[in-house]
Amino acid sequence: MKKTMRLMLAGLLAMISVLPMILPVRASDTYVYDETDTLSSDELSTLNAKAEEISTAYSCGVYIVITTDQHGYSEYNYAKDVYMEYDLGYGEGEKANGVLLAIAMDERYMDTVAYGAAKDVFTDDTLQSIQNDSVLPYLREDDWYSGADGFLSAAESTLKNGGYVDYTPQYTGGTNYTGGGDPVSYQTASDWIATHGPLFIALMGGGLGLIGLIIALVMKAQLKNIGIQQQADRYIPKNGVTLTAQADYFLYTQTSRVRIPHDNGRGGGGGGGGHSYNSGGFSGGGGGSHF
Amino acid sequence: MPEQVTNFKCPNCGGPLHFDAQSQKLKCDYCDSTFTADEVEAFYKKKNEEAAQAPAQFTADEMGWTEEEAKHMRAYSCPSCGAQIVCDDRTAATSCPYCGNPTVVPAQFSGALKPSYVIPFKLEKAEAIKRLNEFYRGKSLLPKSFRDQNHIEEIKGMYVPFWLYDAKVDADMAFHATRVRSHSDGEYNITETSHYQVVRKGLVTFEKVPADAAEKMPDEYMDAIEPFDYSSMVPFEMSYMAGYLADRYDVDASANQERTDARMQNSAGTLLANTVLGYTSVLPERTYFQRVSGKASYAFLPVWVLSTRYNGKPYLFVMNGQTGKMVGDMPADMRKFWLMVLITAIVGVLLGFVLQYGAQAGWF
Repeated sequence: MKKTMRLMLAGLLAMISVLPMILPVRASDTYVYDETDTLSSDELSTLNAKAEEISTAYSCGVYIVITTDQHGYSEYNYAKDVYMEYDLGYGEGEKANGVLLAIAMDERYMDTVAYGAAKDVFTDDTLQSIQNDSVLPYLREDDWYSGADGFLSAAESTLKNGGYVDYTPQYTGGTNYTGGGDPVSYQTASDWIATHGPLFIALMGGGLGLIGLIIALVMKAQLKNIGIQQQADRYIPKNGVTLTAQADYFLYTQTSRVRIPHDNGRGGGGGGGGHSYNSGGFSGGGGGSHF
Repeated sequence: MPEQVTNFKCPNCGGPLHFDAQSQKLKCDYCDSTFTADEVEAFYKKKNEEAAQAPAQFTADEMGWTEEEAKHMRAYSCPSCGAQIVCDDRTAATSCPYCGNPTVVPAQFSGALKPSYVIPFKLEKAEAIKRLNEFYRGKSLLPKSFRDQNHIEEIKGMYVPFWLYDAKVDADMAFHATRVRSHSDGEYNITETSHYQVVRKGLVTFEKVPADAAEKMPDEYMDAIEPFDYSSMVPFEMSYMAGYLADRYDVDASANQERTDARMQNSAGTLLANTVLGYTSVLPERTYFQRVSGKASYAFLPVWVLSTRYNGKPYLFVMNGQTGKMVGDMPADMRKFWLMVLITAIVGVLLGFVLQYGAQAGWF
């Protein structure tokens, strides 16, 4: 019986451990990071609220990261590496899209980068325009808040007018999945459980019942252990095998060629449980400016 | 033809002798004297001849058996108490139902019926019962009433007749194999698949592949308790039968040949296939097997058997009397089965309630 209990407990733990995978994933609440305390706390929370609103509305993360220095990254890779270092992105894996304004205070260097589906609207040219028109003029005046706010406004405008296609799974009330486009509210796992009580309880009951059925079937199978032997290997004495002929004849060779696609596409393959990135998954980056 | 049975009695006190698995000798139940098989065989050769009596008069009409039933029955006189022992025509060793003395039917071990080998029992009845209890342990779906009612103490030691096949198998196989190499020239990914015909021929020797020679013993049970350790196998002597049941064979060596050939061919094929190395894929194209020589030896192998019934259905458990390997199909308590499913589902529902409450209360 102890064994049964152990099996049931293992099943229960397995069920609980897969819950986060089958339920919607909560996106991070932080969109604006300031390592340097350049922004006041009020400014930070105002900017963060605005970034969150835009991000949620378009299911595309809009981020600002102010760092003390370039963290040892080259100017070319600074924004990309910060994006990865902060594990940014809205959604999971290759759908973790987002756009970032990264500012290194010591070097007075800034750059922008877009990842995932966001690349489609935040092209290199678009990002360059945003930098030049909405950010750099303020940063040169040490008006950090306006520069950050300018970036957020420009990003929102780009998303609104740029025909942004959202690839992030979206949930409307937990029932209707839409492939993208329309801004919708995004629920957390706990929201989903809270609003779908009967369905969730039925799923839990059915899921654990299924695990119980599998365990019971395994235990039932253990009650049978007879069977006809198909092999007689153990009755071959030492040196009981003599190879009398051994020949390998080459017949022919078939060759197939597949052209290598040079368009790397969106890149950014998804990793289980976290984001993974590759350099091909970014637009922008390396086009930053000193101010 | 006169038929006789033999008891092995203690040369010292006349008490019944049993084969003692622990000491591998014949042991007296009363004075604990022990004797080797050779000693007893020699000492009682003469006694057995004296014990030969005219077979009991046995007619179908008097006993109320049908002709067909009577044809397969034999009656013997117990040399110890004189009672009549009735058994079927395959019984080679049994015990007297009146005095309990182990009884051997020498006629079943003579001439063409004489086994070549025997593996003496190594595990006693107490060990067999212990192993059966262990076998039941931890099986939660086994009905308790089955465990309680299956008269575990009735487990019987039995020498089961086996044919042990020696053979050489000539194997000839051809395979279609491929070797795949991939590389890139910058513009294309190039895959080259080279095809080969691979030929392997070999001669594989098999020694003492066992197949049970008792029709009433299910093959799948006897196969499942393999292997037996042949290093303990000795030339047959009747005295090893003392204290155990035994039937002579009723399945000819040729009748088992097809089954044994299949086993040997499977192994030969696997062995040859395992020599085809270094390929990405290997598919057999042609297989040809021929047994080029073969002989079968008749042997008795030790098996503990418990035959029981549950809900009107027979259940059989057998244990290798040498290695202790136990096999048998057991009934499942379907009430427990569905109860387990129901309990896990209820746990799931309760957990669902707790998680939902927690979600609403903002616990996570």
